[in-house]
Amino acid sequence: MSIRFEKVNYIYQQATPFEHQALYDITLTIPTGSYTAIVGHTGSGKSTLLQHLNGLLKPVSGRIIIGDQEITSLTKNKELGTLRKHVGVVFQFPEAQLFEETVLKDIAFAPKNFGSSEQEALETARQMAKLVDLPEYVFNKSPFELSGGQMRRVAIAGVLAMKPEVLVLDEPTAGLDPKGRIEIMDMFQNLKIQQHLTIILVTHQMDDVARYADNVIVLEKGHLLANNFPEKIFSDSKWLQEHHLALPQATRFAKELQKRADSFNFSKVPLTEEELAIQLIQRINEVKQNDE
Amino acid sequence: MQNVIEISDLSFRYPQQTDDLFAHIDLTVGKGEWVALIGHNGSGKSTIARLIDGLLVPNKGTIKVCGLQVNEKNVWQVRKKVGMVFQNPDNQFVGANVEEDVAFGLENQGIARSQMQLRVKKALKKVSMWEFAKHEPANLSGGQKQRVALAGIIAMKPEILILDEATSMLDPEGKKDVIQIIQELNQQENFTVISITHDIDEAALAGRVVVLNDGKILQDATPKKVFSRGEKLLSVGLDVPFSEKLKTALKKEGIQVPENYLTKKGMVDWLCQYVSKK
Amino acid sequence: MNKIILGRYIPGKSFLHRLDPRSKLVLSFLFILIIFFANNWRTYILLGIFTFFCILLSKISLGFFLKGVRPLIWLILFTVVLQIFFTRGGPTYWQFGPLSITHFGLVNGGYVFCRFVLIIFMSTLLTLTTSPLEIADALENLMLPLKKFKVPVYEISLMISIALRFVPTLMDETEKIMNAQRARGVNFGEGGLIKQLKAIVPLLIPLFVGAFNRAEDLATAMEARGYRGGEGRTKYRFHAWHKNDTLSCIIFGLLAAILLFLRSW
Repeated sequence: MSIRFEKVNYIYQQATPFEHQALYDITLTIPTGSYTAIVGHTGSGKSTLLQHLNGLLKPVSGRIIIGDQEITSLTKNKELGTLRKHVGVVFQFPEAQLFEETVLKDIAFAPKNFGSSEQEALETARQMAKLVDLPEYVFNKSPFELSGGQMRRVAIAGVLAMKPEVLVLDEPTAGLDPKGRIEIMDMFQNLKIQQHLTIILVTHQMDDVARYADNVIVLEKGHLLANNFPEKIFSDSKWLQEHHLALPQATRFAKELQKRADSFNFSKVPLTEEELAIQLIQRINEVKQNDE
Repeated sequence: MQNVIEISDLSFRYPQQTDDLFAHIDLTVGKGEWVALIGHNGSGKSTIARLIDGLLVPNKGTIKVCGLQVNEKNVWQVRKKVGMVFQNPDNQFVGANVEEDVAFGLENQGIARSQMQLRVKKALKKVSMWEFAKHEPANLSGGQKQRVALAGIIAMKPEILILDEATSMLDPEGKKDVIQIIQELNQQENFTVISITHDIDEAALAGRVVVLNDGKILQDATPKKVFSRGEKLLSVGLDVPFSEKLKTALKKEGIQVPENYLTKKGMVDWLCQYVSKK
Repeated sequence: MNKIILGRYIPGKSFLHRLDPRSKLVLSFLFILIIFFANNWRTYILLGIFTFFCILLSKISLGFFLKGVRPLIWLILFTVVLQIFFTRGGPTYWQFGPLSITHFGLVNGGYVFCRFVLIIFMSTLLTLTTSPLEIADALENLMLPLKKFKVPVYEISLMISIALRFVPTLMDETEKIMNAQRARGVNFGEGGLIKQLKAIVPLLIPLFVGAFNRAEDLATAMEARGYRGGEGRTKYRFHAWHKNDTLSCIIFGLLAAILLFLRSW
């Protein structure tokens, strides 16, 4: 399901003294099946943009086309039901949305809202709980008795239970420990491959952008600054610096290496330590051959 | 070096649990040290911090803070020596605005108002938040709120600063600001710092890293020593610095890498040397 | 929510903003009291002019005050109409059964209308120029004598102060949870009563759980910062009684004196 923004503007508390514009003329495309990262500082308009993806906010002007649905300022809330089913959103600290008596019931909440029977919904919930690696013994426990990491998984399963085609993730690993972080990010990667999801990731972690994304959107103060492949975005370190954006660690390391020795010339910007290692070995072998 | 924290044979268990969270822990921290406490979620790092401040009571063992044993009698004295910054910036902001929040601890000590005004101003200037003195918390970023929390501690003039994942909910800029202030406090004002963190780059700033796992201290050494056992850290669910990650990736491709831990700069040096040697 | 003006605070630096909240609170209360002493058009004009003068002093546009009246307009009109129809006396202009419109009725209706508007304007003026926290402080100060009767005045005041500080945080939280549940297919504010009540549960439970977690965190943080009850605490927030406060009291005294004089004139 592809997503297209056309000249989207959004203004909070319009026509009051507290009026404040959060998005300016945003035009962009998020292709079907892509892993798109949205980056930018606090206040750049990331979360406002995110809330447009499933109709929680409607543009003040311009339009958004998601699949075969168009959203403008005139779209009625009633027409947004199917959209919300197709676009699942995992908000920041999603465990704050848990409320049911048991883990399974909570996961079954969304499918029930979208018309599944109790039986069907619980069956879906069971599948989703397994999908996010929750151990079976917690299925009928209260979600509030679980550890932070497990609560996070329950909340994610609760969104996956709608079987969305697009999955929007707002800082999904915030507050987790390193192991939990890697597990959750790998889980999304697997889901994307198995279920052909389109993933949209809002994050500050440039290493995650470098490792997982194939499309990057950069926002600054409500304006679209760039929309390109990660290799392109991270190749211009001067531009990134001007906009106070960090480089992925591997790219930064490669930069420093290049500064020290001209022999380290990278044909392609390395984004992860694996890519960097492979390129380094090529370099080393070339130097070796030249010497011989 | 004088010890400001002495923990001996410490055991703790939460009332509703059957197993000890940790048992027989010994740990001393010297004045002016910066100790990073790392371990996966649920390893008991935060619990240790709360025990030091007398917010929880141990099942066994003793804790001494600046020579004072932490017990019911001394707890208020101990809390004067220890300042804590917690994880969630919103949930520790008591005052109606920035200056009042900084004054909260001073009010509790019954310090005269004229004295409070001086200390609040000085502390807020130290964290570059004086111009925000009248701002309400709702209009501040997470990083700014944590800086206010730090000012609240600076104003109290404690000996020890405990950061309980204080930067984990901040964006990269907020993180940078907070860490910079902590470095200044540690280096210029000789604050003893205990930072509980998952951020490996933050832990690398410490003079000592203590790894907590399965209710025991797995390792207690310099960052250099601790990080050189990268695989071990990964196996207990922790992160390793980037240079270690790169070393692992190179090793996988069949390159002979040095055993000891290298900083990023060290790694660059080594690679340059490696190439020129060939 | 944005439509309600009464109870809102607009930050500013006007004469009225800078007055001590204690004098503002007491004087507003006394003003409302003396409104009931007004008994002829001269006294109402006097109070009207005074109110208008205060509004000018606050440097807040008149629109805010008119908006403050709007939500209460039906209540006001209802009371005025009752006054007009049921007051007897003076020449009768119209009569139908027990209902009549008399001269006295019209005059009384007019007075009641003026009384309402003056009360609303004055209380709006108080809240527009005084932050909730200042009002809480003023109340604490005025309640201090109650300490003799073992009323925990400081604790109550700290409670109110924390409650006010967390209002925006909890509003934020509410919005976040509503968004998360909307994304899971909940429609707030739609459907029949039962459906709407059902939609509240997934909002209220997370909100309560979150608030309790916050409370626990906050209690820990407060204790870590040495909070052990109100005894022996000093206070950073301070309201100084200025010359302007004394001046306001004198002006009010004069106003009351003129009012009493005009009453019997």
